[in-house]
Amino acid sequence: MKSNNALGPSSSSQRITNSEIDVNDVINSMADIEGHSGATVIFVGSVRNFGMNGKVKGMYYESYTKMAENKIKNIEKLAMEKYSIKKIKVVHRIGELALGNNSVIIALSTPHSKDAFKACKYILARIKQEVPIWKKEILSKGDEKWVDGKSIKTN
Amino acid sequence: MTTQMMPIIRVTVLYFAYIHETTRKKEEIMELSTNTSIKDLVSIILTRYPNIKNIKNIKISVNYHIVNSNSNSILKNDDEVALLPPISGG
Repeated sequence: MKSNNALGPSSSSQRITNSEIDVNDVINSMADIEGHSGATVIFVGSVRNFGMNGKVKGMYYESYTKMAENKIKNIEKLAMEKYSIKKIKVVHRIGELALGNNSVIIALSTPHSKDAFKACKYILARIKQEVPIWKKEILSKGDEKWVDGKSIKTN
Repeated sequence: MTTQMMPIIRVTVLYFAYIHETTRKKEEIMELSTNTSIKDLVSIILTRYPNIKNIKNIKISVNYHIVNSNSNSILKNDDEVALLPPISGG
């Protein structure tokens, strides 16, 4: 029987997608009828209308998909061990995104809220430090500029 | 004169984000002699695309693992090497 109960990061589901991220689907996937979790925290990152190079009308994301998937799975695994996470879902969108589109979602549930907030921040910070994804700002004045990023952190 | 065939390996090299704007391609297959190290390949790439030197903090991965760009480890046939500029996900 297929169980939705997260014992470890799910190996099958996609962490990198070209499609729109459905926030409601992600929220529903956190439902826990057995009541192992008392807290669910969800972070949604979306495209803002101003960036490092001025006014922005859209964003283009590129990833090294296979490595990004591996890295996100590893971050989920570390977070699950560190914060007693019962359910987790992390998805980053790539391709061309319009203003307000969701670029990343982190959802997780834990027995206690304190751990859920901490785990969410931990995962977001590690995504920004380790996952090979790049973004290019599509500027209102017409040109496009890659965002100056951070050197990939290695342990 | 007979020429001896030099044994070769083929590796895929991937260029991400603003690096592919310098190389004008996102990937290529390189044929290398069997004793080519990571360090040798980096030097071959920089000779072919000298402008890559202007990009700071590039990391090199081999088969999805970050490696030291000065490594003397020898590359194998079918290895996937990637040049990863500083990242900006999230």
